Amino acid sequence: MQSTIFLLGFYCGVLKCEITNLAGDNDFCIIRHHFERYNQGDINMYSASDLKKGLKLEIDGDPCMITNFEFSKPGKGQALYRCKIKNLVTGNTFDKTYRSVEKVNRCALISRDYTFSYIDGDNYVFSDNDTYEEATLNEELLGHLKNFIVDDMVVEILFHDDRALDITLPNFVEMVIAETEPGARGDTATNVMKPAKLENGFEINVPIFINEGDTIRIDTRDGTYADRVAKG
Amino acid sequence: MLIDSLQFRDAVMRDIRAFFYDRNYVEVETPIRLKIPCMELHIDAEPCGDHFLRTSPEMFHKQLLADGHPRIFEVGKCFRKGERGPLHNPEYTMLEWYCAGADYMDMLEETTAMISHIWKESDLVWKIYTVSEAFKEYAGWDPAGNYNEDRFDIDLVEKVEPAFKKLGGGVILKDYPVEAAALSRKKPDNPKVAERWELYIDGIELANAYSELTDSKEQRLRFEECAEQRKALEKIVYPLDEIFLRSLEKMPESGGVALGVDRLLMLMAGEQSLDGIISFRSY
Repeated sequence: MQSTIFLLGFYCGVLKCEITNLAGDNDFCIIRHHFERYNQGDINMYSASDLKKGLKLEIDGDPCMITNFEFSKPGKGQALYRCKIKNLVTGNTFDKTYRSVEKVNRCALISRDYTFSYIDGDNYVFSDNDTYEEATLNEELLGHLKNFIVDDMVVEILFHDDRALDITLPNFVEMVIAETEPGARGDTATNVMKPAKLENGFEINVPIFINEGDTIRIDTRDGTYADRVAKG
Repeated sequence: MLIDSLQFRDAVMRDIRAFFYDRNYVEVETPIRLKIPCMELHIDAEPCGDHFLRTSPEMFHKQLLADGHPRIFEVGKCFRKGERGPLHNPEYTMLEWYCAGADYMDMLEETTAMISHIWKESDLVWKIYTVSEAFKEYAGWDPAGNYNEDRFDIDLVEKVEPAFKKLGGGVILKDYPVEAAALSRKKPDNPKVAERWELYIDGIELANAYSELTDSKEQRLRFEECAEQRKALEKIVYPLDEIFLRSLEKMPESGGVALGVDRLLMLMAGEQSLDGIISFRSY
């Protein structure tokens, strides 16, 4: 309480200089305005004027992201913030217009490091690096990334409450070639590619000098061959 | 941009000035730093030391009208706090002009003549809707006599303006619900609406005009009501401008228009945003 009084006192002092030329009746409003700003900030809410493209919100309990944003202000009317919003769980997009007085829930997203443990049917099971708690991700959520998950790989999983929303793999993974046509000796061209099967059966294009048993690095972001790490 | 934006702006400004000189308008300069900005509910002035930056030259132009200058225009920078987007910049160029003895429909004729003068190849066809007609057609309700601010603003940007964009060309939206009259006078034969229009080209709002309110008592009441509303929204409440209110007592019946020059240039250049139109946009 003391600090509140101090703030009020402090702001009265500063504002007095700014408002000496204004009519007396209105001084109170101006001071109140500035003073209340210091008490209003709810850290769990965004004001409409904070909204922008890419911002994550919680709407009806679901994590959402603003994919398109437009500031609009008709004639003498109020500022309106027109958003296209994507539900990060269902993938659905919808339009929503916020007035400047409206507030929106922030979305508490937490990402934590996990280590891959084992596959259980369609599910990939990871364990928390600190607590050893398990997290299960369906292969649908993993998409093409599932082909590059290897034993003991450390990944980053993004959660909303206890729901896993997204996974980030290390940018590069090392894997062994299980099967491919033998390469022509001495041919080090990297622009001529051939198919090769990885240890997990996934097929990838590699340069023709790569042989069975070679260890290669793959860029997990686009799933392409990066370079050879060791000869088999 | 295919055109040089500075040369383009210069050429258009010459045409605009020529149009007004030709019609015996006097170009005026009025203060940019004000002690008391115009009190409007949703327009916020940028503080500037112990002053504010103007949001429009309106208050001074009306004092000039009251002092016996019947035809005046000004082109200059105006400032609106927190307005930024593809069609907004916190600092922008406003063209504002007033004509004693005219009403809002006289001003419409002059505005469309001015646009045809500077944008000869535009070939615009103007369609006129009252607010009641446009809202009944595109939003399914009539705000006149049944005004709801939130519903009005949201339907305007989500339904009516997109419909104007689809129609294309020039559209006039006129006779606003009296609650959205701002500084315009009530229509004598229909007090539910005010003599105000907004002009759109391709769905983009370009200009606002009034038959100006010259009743000082009514203006005072509107300012007081606006002050209450601003207080409720926790916005800065500006004091009443007594000099302005006194000058309204002598002000002749007049029409006035405010037009966003940057948006006009944007439309003429076929651009989608103000980015290529305003120099030093990122400031």
